[in-house]
Amino acid sequence: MSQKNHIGESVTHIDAWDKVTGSAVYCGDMSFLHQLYGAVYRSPFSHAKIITIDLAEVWKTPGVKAVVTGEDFPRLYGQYVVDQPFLAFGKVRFKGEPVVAIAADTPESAAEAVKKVHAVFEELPAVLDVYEAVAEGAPLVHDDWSKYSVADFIRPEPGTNICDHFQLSKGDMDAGFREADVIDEGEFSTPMIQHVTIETHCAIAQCLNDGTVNVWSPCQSPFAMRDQLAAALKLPLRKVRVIASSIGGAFGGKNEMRVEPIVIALAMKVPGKHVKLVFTREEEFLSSVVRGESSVKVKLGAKNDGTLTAVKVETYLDTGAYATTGPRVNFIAGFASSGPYVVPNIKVDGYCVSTTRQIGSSFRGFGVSEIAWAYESQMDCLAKRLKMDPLDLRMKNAVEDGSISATGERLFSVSAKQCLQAVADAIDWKNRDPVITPEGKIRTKGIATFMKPTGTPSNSSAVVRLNDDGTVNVMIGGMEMGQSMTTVIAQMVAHELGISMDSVEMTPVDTEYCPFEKHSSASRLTFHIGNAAVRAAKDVMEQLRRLAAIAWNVDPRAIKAGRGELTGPGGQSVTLPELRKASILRDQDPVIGKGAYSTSDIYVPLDPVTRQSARPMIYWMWGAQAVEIEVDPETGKIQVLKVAAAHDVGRAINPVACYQQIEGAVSMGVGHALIEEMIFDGGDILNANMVDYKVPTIADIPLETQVILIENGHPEGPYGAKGIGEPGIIPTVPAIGNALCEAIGERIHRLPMKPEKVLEALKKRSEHCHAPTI
Amino acid sequence: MKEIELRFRLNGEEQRLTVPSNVTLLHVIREHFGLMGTKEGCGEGECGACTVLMDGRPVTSCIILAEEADRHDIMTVEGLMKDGKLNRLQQAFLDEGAVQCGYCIPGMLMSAQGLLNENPHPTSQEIRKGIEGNICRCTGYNRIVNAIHKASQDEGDS
Repeated sequence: MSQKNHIGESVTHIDAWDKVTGSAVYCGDMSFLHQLYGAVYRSPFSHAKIITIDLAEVWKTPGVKAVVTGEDFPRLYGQYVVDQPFLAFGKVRFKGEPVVAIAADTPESAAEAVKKVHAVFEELPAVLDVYEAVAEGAPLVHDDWSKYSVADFIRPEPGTNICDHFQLSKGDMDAGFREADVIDEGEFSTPMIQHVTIETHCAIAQCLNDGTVNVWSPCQSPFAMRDQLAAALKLPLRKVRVIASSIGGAFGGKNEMRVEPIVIALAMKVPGKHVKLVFTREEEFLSSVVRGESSVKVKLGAKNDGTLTAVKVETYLDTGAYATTGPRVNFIAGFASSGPYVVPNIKVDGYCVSTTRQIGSSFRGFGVSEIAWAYESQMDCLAKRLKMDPLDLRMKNAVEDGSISATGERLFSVSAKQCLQAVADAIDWKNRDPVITPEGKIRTKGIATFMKPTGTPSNSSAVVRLNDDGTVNVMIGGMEMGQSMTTVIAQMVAHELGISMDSVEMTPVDTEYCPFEKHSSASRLTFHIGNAAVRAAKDVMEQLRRLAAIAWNVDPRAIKAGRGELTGPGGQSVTLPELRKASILRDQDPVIGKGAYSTSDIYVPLDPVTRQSARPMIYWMWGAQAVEIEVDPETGKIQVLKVAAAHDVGRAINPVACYQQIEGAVSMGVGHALIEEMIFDGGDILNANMVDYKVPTIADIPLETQVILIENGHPEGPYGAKGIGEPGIIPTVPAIGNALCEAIGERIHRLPMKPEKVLEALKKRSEHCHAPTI
Repeated sequence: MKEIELRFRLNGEEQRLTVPSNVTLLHVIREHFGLMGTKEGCGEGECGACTVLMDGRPVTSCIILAEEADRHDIMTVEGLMKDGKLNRLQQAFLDEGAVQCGYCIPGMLMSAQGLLNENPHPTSQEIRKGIEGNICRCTGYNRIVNAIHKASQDEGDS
C-alpha cells in the first residue's frame, strides 16, 4: 500500500467531489459583509478622444459610494507592453472599453448610475482590419511605442500599428524556391472568436490604507497578476495579494487582468471596503479578451518527389486595442510556422497588429492553431499539385529525432511520424476514397499534424509541508482550471513519498504564502511544477533521513531513503504512513520540503534577427488528427463522424486526465472549424450573447473521438511527461478543412466552415464544371 | 417594486419568503438561501448552468421569476446528496471523469436528474437530447453521456 505506484493511474480529480456537490467556491460565489458592487460605463465608440465626463447625476444616484475615471487614475499595465489603462484616459481604443467605474451598495444602484454618466467624445477614424491597420497613413491606435515599456523580445515598428514584427530566417529562402519543382501558395484566415468560459470574468478587490491591495479572482496566473499590479501601482510585491478562486473555465481567457483593474481602481476610493464585479455575458464578449482575427499567407516549395525545399510564411494577427499577450502569441506562432517538417530554407514574418477592436490575447493553442490551419491546409494543396497522398507527403517531410528545427535546434523526443501513422491506422486512411451515402451525403477523410512549443525560459516552485501523521500539504502557485493539474501534482508527490492520494492536500493558491509560479499557460504545469514538486518531495525524504539518523543514532549516510521509506543499518525502518508511530519527528526540526525548477540553464538565447538557437525550448508537443466527415450537399452542413487524435504526452501521469484534455480540445476545435465567430457591423458586435454566438452543444460534437496516447518520454520531464492542455485543439480544424476539400473539391480559406460557405463553394465548383469550353 | 410572498419547497424543506416581484428564481436560490451551487452563465437561459428541478423537471432558473416557483417543489444540486452520500449520478460523474472546470456541472447534473426522473433508462440518443441545453466548454460531452448512462444502469435509489 505504501509503495503504491501513483504514476500512470487514472485517479479521479481531487476537486471533482466539490464540483458535483456544488460546494466548489468560484469567485462569483464569494461575498463579504457590506461589500460594494461595481458597474462600468463603456466606450460607445471604437476610437475617440474623451472630451469631458460629467458625473454630477451619477453622484445623485442613491447608493453610489465611489466613482472613478481614467483621469483620476492614469496608470498603465501590461504583461509585455505596458500600454493599457485601468480605465481609459485621453482616448478610447475600442467599443466597450471601460471609461467610468462606479461602486454602489447594490448591483441595481450601480447599474442605474452607469446610465447617468454624460460623456462627450470626439470620434476618431476607427481601424477595424489588420490590413487597413498596416496600410500607409493608417490612423495610429497608439501614437508612440517608445513611450511604453516593452519586453525585450518584442519589435514594435515606430510610427505604425505594428506592435511586434517577428522575423525568423533559416537557410536561403530564394534559393530554396529556385530549387523547387512546384511552388504552391495560399492565404488562410480566422475570425475573431471568444473563449466563452461558462463562468464570466469576476473579481473582488479590497485596498487598505497601509497600501495593501487584496484581490480575489479566478485568474490563471496569480503571480503574473501580482507582478503587473505591483508595477502599475508602484507597490512592493509583498503588498499585493492575489487570492485565487476556483476557475470556471479559462482556455487562455483568464490570463489577463480584466475585471481586476476596475475593482481595484474603485476599491482605492473606499479603503477597507470590498468591491465586487461580475461581467455579464455581453461584457464578456465586449471587453474581456478574444482570439483576434488572423491572416496567414503560406508559400511552399517542393521537389517533384515531395521534398520540401522552402517555406515562406507571412502572418497578421489582430491584437486589438492593447497588446496583452499578442506579441508573445506572435512569437510562438512564428516559432511553429513551418510545421513539423524538415525545411532547409525558411522565412517567417509575423506581424502583431494593433486595431481599435476587442483585445486579442491568449487562447488555447497560442497562435499555433491559426498557423496550423494555414500550413496544414496548404500541405494538402501541395499534395494535390504533386498528385501525392497527403499522408505520404507529410511522412516524407516530417521531423524526427536528430532533425534540425526551423529555429536551428537538433530535435529529440520527436513523435510526429508516430502520431501521423497512429491516426492514419485509426481512421483506416488506406480506404479513404469519398463515399456517397444512400442519402446522398459525401463521406471523406482528412488529416493534419503540428508541432507546438511550450514557453521557455520559465520557472516554477513547490513546497511540501510534512505533518506529523505522514500527510502533506502541497503549496504551488499554478492554477487548476479543470485540466486536473493539482491531481497530477498530488499523484507525483504521493508517489515520491509512498503515501496515498488521501494523504495529500493541495493548498488553494494565494500569492501571500504560496511559492512563485510564472504562468499557468503553454501546457507547462505538469512538466514544470511537476519537476519542482518531485524535487520538493525528495527534499522531504532527505530531511527525514537526517532526523532518522538522530533518532536511531546512526550516520545519515548509512540510512537508505527510498520512496517514502527509510531503512537503517540495524534493520530500523519507517514509512511515511507510520511516521507518527516512529516518532522521529518529535520535537525535531519541522520538515518542509522545497523544490524549484527553471529552464534558464538549458535555454540558449535566440539570435535576434534569425531566431536561431541551439535550445530555444525545453520541449515541443507533437500530435496528429485524422477525421471522417459527412457533408450534406443539399444543406451544406458538415457532420464530423469521427476524430482520431494521437498526441505525445511523454508519460501519461493520469491517463483519463489526458483523454479529457484531448477530447475537450477536439470538441472546441470542431466549434472553431464549423460554427464560432464574432460577427461585426463596423465596430459593433452583432452576436455578443450565447444565443447568437454558438459554441458546440452535444449535437455538434463528433459522434466518436478516439484518443491515442503516445508516451515518448522526455528526458527532462517528470517521469517523462510533456504537456497536453492545448495541443488537442490544433489539428482538428485543418483536418476537417482537408476532408471538406476532398468532399466538395473546393477549399474554404476562412473559418468557420458554415453551411452557407459550403453551399457557395459547391456552387462555384458546379459553375467551373459546367463552364462552356470555347 | 411590488413585493410578493412565496411559499415553496426547496431541497425538501418548506420555505416562505417575501421578495420583489421582478427577481429570478436563480437570484432567490443564491442570494436568499445562499445555495451557491447553482450558477449563472449567460443570464438568458441559453447555457443551462442555472438548471434546477421544478417538480422534478429541469428549468433554467435565470430566466424564470421566483414567483413562478410559488407552491412548487424546487431542487438544486445541493439537494442531490442523501445521508451524506453522493447520489448515483454524482458518483457516476466522478467515476467516468465527466468533470473538468466544474462550472456547468451542477446544471448538467440537474438536467440529467430531470431526465432520469422521467425516463429511468434512457438510450444514448435520449441522453444526448436531455442535455442538449447544457453547454460544457471543457469535456466534449461524451464522458458526461457515459456517466448518465452508467447512473441509469445502477440499481438503488435515485
